[in-house]
Amino acid sequence: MDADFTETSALKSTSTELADARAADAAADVDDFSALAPRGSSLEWSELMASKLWPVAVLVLGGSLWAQLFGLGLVAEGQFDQPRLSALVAYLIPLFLLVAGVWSRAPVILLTLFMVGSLPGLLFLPDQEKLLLGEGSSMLRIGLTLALFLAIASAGSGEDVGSDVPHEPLANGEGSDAQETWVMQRFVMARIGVLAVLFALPAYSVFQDPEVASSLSKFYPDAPHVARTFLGLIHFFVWSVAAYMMVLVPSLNMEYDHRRLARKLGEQYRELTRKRIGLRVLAWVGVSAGMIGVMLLLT
Amino acid sequence: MRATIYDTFGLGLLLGSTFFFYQTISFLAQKDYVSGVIAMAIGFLVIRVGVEVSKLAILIRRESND
Repeated sequence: MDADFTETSALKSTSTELADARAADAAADVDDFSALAPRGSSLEWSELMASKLWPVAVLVLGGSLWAQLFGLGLVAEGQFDQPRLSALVAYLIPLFLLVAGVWSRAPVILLTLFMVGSLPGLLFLPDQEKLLLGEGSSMLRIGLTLALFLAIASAGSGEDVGSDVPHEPLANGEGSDAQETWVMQRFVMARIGVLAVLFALPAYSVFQDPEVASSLSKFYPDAPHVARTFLGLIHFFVWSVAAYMMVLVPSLNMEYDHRRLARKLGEQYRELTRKRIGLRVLAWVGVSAGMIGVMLLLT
Repeated sequence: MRATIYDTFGLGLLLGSTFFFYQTISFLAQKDYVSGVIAMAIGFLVIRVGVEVSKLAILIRRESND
C-alpha cells in the first residue's frame, strides 16, 4: 500500500513537472508569438481584407454607383403603365456585371465591362432623370463613388493573375535609384498633363463648341439641354476610364510588368530557333499575299 | 535616345486619343451612336498602345542605367 502510495505520488510529481514544463514551453511560445505579433497580425489583416472585406466593399461601392445612376430610372420605369423591357435590361446589366466581377475577381469585368455596360443604361434614362444626374452635387457624388470604387476594385482584383510571377529580388540598386524615381515622376506627371487635356478638350466640345451645339439643337430639338447632360456623363465616364488606364494602372504595375517582360523575353530567347523564325516570316508573307489578293479581287 | 523616341511616341499616342474622344462627342451629338461607340473604342485602344509604348521607354531607360 505504501509502495502504491509512493508510486502514485512519484507519478503525480512527474506529471506536475511535465505540466510545469509544458506551461513554460507554452509561455515561451507565447513570447515567441508576441515577438512576431505585428507581422502575423498584418498578414491576417491583409488575408481578411482580401478574402472578406474586399468583395463587400466593392459590392457596396459598385451597388451605390449603380443605384445613383439607375435607381431613379428604375423607379420611373416601375411607375410607367408599360415598363420598357429593353430599358430594364439595360439598367440591370451593370449590376449583373458587378456581381460577376466580384465573384470572379476579373479586373476586365469590374474595371472595363462594368463601366462600358453602364453606357446603354444611360441612353435609356428618362429626360428628367438625366437632368437630375447632370446637377453639380450629383456629378460630384458619382465622381467620388467612382474614384473609390476604381481604387478598391483595382487593389483586390486579379490577385491570382499576378501570383504566377515569381517575386525575385531586384538587382542591386534597382528600384532605389534617384534617377529612376525622377523617371517615374516624369512618367506620372506627363500623363496627368495629358489627362488634363483629355478632360478640357471634350468638355469644351460638349459645353462650348458651336458645331456640337448646332448638332444638338438639330438632332434633339425637344430637349437639347438633356442631350448635353447625357454627353457630359459620357465624357465623364470616358475620362474616368482613361485616367485609370493611363495613370493608375501603369504606375501601380510597373514592377510587375518589368518582371513579366523579362521572363517573356527569356522564354522567347530560349524558344526561338532559325527554323521557327523562318516559318513565322513565311506565314506572315503568306497572310499578306492573301490579303493583297483578296483586295485585288474585290476591286 | 531610343527611350526618348519611345516616350515621345507614347505621349503622342495618348494625346492623339483626344481626337477620337472629340469625334465620339460629335457622333453622339448627331445621334450616330454606333460610330460614337466605335470611335470611343478606338480612343481606348490608342491609349492602351500609348501606355505600352511609354512602359517600354521606361524599361529601356532602366536597362541603359544599369
